[in-house]
Amino acid sequence: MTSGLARRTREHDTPTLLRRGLLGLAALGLARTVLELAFLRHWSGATQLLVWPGVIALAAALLALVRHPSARAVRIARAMALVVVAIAVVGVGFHVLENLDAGPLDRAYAATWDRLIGLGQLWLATTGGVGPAPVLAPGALAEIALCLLLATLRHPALES
Amino acid sequence: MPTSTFRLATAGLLLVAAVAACGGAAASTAPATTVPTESATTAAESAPASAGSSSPVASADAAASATGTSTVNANSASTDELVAALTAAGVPNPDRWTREIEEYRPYPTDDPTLQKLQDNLAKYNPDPATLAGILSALQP
Repeated sequence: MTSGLARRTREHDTPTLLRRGLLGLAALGLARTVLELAFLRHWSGATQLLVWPGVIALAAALLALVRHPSARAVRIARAMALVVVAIAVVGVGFHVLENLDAGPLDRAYAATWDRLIGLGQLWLATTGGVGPAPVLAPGALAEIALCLLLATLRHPALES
Repeated sequence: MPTSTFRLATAGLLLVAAVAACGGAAASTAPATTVPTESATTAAESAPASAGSSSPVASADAAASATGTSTVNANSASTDELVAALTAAGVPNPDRWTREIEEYRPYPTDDPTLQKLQDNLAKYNPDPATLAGILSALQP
């Protein structure tokens, strides 16, 4: 098996190997993200559902790059990846807002929350001081999207 | 050509490493929120015990009998009914807690302790008295 892998590695140039590696990492990241979202039951309410179109877009872009890497498919995949990066940024914002909203419920800050300055509230909500939402978790989507974008850099389908 | 290939490979690896570091930070955020959650659960369970009750549910029963409030169904009560019940039980921020109660529906009807609700509310690190007040206003 190892020798077969080594032989196949020698058959391709470095950019091709890196491109396939990036696509592999994107597939792994996508699978991990879908599992984690399912375990968290991330589908109660419209804001929680927002992540799923992003996941579907990433899966579609990944499939297009793996199965039909035409120039058109590469361009569409790039556009989808950029949209998903935007969704990830919005997701981080929603997680911060969710934590800000939960601030007055926390026993440590219930009595003092309204007296905190806005920056203090924002700091607590962003750093995990209050609220249940992991602020940077949506960054996983951006990570996968950037892998896909990198995999399309100087893609042969665009140069032919 | 080998130089450009090398540059492409280096740039790609650097970007992936940077983004992976960002993802690692995201992953490390979860335990940070989990720790207070667990301590909150422990505290929520221990605080009533230290006050002479055996559990949040016992505190809730005591709170309900003390205030003379009636309970509403955690699964089927409307938003207004929930807000009214929580307000009557003296729960602060009743609107906000009502949203949480509705978010984690449905609750098992064969669990009078509403353990599923307790587990989910513990993520917000509530005051034990607040948790007891919420539970005192609800039935599965």
